[in-house]
Amino acid sequence: MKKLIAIILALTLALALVACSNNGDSKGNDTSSGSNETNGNDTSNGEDTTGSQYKSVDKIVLWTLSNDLKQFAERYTELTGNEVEVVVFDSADFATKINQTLGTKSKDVDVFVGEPQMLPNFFEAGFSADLSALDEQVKSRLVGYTYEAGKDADGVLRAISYQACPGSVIYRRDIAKEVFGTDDPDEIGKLFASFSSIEDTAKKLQEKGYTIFGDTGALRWFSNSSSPWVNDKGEIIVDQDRLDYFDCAVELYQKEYVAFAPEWSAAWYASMAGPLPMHAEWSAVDEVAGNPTTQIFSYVMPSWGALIVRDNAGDNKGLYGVCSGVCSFFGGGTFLTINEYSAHKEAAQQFIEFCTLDDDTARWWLDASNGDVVSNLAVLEENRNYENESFGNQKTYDFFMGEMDKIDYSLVTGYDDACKDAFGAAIISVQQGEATKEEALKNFYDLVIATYPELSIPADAPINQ
Amino acid sequence: MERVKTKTAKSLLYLFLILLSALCFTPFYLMLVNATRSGNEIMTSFTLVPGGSLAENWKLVTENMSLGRGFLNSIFLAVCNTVLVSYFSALTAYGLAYYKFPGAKVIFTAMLIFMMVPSQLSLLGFYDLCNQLGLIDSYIPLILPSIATPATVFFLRQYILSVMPKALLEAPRIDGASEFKIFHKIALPIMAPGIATMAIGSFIGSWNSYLIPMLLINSPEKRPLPVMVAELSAVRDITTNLGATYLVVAISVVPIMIAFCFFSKYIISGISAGSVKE
Repeated sequence: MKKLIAIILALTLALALVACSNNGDSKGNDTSSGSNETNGNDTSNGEDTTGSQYKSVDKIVLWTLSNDLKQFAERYTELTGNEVEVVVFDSADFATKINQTLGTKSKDVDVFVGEPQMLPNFFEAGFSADLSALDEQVKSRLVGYTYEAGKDADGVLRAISYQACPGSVIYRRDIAKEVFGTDDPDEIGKLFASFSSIEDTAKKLQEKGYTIFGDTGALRWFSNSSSPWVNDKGEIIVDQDRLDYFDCAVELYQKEYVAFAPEWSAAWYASMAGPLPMHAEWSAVDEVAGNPTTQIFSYVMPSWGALIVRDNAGDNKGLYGVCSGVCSFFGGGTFLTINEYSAHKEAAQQFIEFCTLDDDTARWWLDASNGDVVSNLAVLEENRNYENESFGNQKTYDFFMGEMDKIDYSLVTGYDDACKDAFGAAIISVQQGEATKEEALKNFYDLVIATYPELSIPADAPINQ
Repeated sequence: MERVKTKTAKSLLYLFLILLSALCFTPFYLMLVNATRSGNEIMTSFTLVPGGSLAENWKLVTENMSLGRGFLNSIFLAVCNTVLVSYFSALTAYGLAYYKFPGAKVIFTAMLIFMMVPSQLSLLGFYDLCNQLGLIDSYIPLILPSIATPATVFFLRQYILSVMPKALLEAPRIDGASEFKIFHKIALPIMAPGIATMAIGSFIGSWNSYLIPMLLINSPEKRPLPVMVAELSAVRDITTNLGATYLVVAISVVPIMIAFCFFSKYIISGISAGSVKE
């Protein structure tokens, strides 16, 4: 008995310690160095905003994947007095949580978010309410591809995004000047215009001791360049562009034109600020310090990736530029959608309108997020001529707007993720010498068809020739 | 000569043990070191020297989550679970071991079968059940099921059969003690070391449990620590939050260490004492 008491006492003590220090320590820590500039928390620009257009409504519950919408909710409450409870989930389990909860027609959540690749599943399961009342506005005032991505298979609008995430090639201006004699985005864009020009570019870079990408995975963003992965007849399409992509990835790998630092690896992050050892793969940079060093010339990523490069650039800050690649693409982005079973649909819709269709909100977010590309066309237009210091005074919004116009959403299908993954695996098997190109392509078709038995191989497929 | 031999053997043994403990300790130490470094540093380099970002990480933690609240929730859940598992499993094990009644064998076999079914399998059904009963976003489904823990019952049944001869129960029975009194006064203290072992497991299990609380709990203020940690790592880009996440994980390990220290002392004293001295 005594021992039991001792245990309980010990636990209480520990608890008290933690609880106390929790409150006592939040002040006086402002000396911290290098705080990240994306974390700007100032919630207002000082200007008067149009809170009056919003009615007083019930409290709603929002489930999301990051802190961004918490800031939106705080501002919404500040301006309208309406409450929004924001609950953040880890993205790895988010789809499970939504499927479980809404699978039982729960009313516990009113608004939830989804990334473009999650949305079709949510729509199909009937989780997302009809937002077609806003269709006209979204169509005319927001970035085109986000409107397309928010529609279900029948063309009914069910999700709206406050962001747009067009793709870009983020390149080092100083290296561009040294190797190619210019750092003009249009000129550098030509170097990335096709898979064969990428091979040439990589070769020239290697001669000067640079590598073109972190690893060949960067090319996967260009895999939707000319035709959809699956056509109307349910046939899996591998056209000449995809074969070029395949060959290019193998060539870059085998000739060591890349640094072998995969996206999200420690070495990849380190490369943004300076030289890195070759062949770092997933190990820490220190462990491979003996390898010959190189510098990575470019990164292929959506607009949020440009911010990652900027924030990890260190001494290279301001030395980056953005240009277009083989094709325009998009990746990620947070879409808001209303729970079909919600008891507060009106309140939910009002909040979504506030986040996505309110020009003032978009203006504020562009500032507060320190450079996020918003989906609001009018606000993007206002910022078209803004010269971005972090990117060598390039007019980045102007560039991203141009890219967004070029995104061909008709090339997007629900099979894209599976096809891209399988194609990537095929490329890796050839890179590592485990299979010939023919075998790898056959494995690719087999893998996709095993996942989606309704698909077929067309008669003119590369493996049939 | 003999002495030299034992000395070398001993030093080899110690060397081996030191190596083993270093092996166990290093990941733990790395976690502590990473808790003092910024996300960017963690992503880009590897070191055994603590960094200078502890204050910054702490600020991120306090800004983004209510650590105290999470601690309270987790401790409440873990303590309730541990108490229920310990008491009711001991009770069941005692009953199954010393009472002869029709169906005892069937019950025991049923328990063995349930032990082999992974809990993940019943997750969907469990969620639906809780939903039908209106228990979503409540602690009841996180605590109550621990009353029935077949694995613990099985272990304790085997344990009590090996440490307590049946004759030990006959004395109080002759003296007129009620059956519950016999359990509380005689059987429970004798089973204590076994219970302690199981209690550590269930405390740690409950402290670390993530999937079921994540699915069942909707309100942020009811979340236990692991779910909050997942939230913390999600709120911002991974590079900015990694250090803070390490810090919370490091802090959240503290109660487990405390629990372990106390219980392990209990086990050792229990094992070396025992009911029947031979």
